Amino acid sequence: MTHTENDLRELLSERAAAGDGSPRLDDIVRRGRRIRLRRRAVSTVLAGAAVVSVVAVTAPFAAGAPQVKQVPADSARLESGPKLPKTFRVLLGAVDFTMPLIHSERFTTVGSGKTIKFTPTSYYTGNKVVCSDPRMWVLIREKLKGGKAGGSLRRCSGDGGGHHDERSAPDGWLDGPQSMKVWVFPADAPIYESGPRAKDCAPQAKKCHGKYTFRTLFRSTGVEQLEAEIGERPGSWAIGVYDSPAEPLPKPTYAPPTPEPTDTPTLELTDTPPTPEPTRAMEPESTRTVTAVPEPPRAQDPAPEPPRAEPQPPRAQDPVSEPPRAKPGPKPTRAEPVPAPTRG
Amino acid sequence: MDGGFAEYVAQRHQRLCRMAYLLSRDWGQAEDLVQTALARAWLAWRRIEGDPDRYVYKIIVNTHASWWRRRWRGEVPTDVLPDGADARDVAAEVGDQAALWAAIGALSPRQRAVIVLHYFEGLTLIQVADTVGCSLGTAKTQLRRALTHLRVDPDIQTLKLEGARR
Repeated sequence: MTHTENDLRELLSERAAAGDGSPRLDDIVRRGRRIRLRRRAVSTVLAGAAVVSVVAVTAPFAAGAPQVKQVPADSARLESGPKLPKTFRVLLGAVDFTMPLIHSERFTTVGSGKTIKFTPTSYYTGNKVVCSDPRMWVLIREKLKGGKAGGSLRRCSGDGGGHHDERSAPDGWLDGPQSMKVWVFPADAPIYESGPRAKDCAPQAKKCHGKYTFRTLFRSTGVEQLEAEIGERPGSWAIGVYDSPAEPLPKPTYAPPTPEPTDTPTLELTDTPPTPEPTRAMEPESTRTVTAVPEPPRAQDPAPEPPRAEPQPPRAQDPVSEPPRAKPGPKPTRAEPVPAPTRG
Repeated sequence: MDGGFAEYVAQRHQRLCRMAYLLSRDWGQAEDLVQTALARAWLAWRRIEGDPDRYVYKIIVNTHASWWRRRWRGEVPTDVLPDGADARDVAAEVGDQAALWAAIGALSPRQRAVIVLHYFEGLTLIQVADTVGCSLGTAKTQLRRALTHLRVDPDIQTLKLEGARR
């Protein structure tokens, strides 16, 4: 049986006509006032909860002054959240020493950039980020030698982190406070997966690989776009800055050799640590996951790294008396924080 | 009462109750819906610009959809069998109308809202879309699906009229 629109109209009118409710204005207004009171109560409760949250978050810091006095000056670790290692081990060929934590900051949200300020005490200043979820993404952007920008993008797992040396530290590194910008994004951020995990992603590349690559995120617009897309979310992470080695390090006497035009920085963007080649094993090479940003090399800029074929001049107080290349022994090592033996 | 709210209630209450009844199919719930909608409208009465009907319709439709999601819609004990034969109905017509009424009751809340607003309140599809809170295309789709479900053919009326002219 098929009906017409008129049938429908008539049926609706007919069925609706049966009712005959009389308006009760007082009831309506009374109900409206109840709704208003309820809304105000909810607003008050929410405002109170927000105040309590703020107090709870800031109280440890506000009340932390007396506690700081009780702990030794060299144990500036966090009271809660992911724990930072106390020391950072530097392994550059035969150079092996540890650096204590000199500065740390803790955050309870992810998805927005944070500027970390610190005062380096040597050229080997290192940093490490720890997160409540090891699959979170960590993006670090900082200055490199010659005014170039560098940084890294990686998951928060393992022993990721890096340190400068005299060849990567920007000019005037020891002249005063320095800063770097750090972003931590949630694990499900649409970031292109590369490195060891990319292999697991291969069969489901579309599910695994996000649209934001390291190159994209290195541009301010790219990271701002990702920030806007993700928004600030709760998530605990901390960053530690390590410096001032236990033994006074030699003053760098490194003099960069004459750059070769063809050896200007290879603008390779990687978000995983470069794998050292055996022939470069003993060179005291920075092991940061830092690469130069894709800027056209300027003629007047010295190359940040010397030609790898040439042996390094021995330092005045270098623990290794001979040029590193002459020593066949140790396997190439990279700077690794103490607790975790392998890179993530 | 401020700003003519009392006059509006006096004039429109019954119509709003009927519209709410067609959505909820229960007079008690319909009056509750209208009272809730009018109470919320009273709170915002000074801020309402233009025809308050649209604002109140929107509250009724949204509140009904919200209640429909929350409330138990299973078997409900009742003294009177719902949707039974009406004493006013006549044999065949009764069967058709009861079937149509039952089919309306089986529509989703949004489809039912589109049907009621378009065929009972006489709103255009653009106004329906605005009231229901969807795009015009979605409103058209909902209407078409609802009519298909109700077996209402919009062209039949035209055919009948053409037949009568001949």
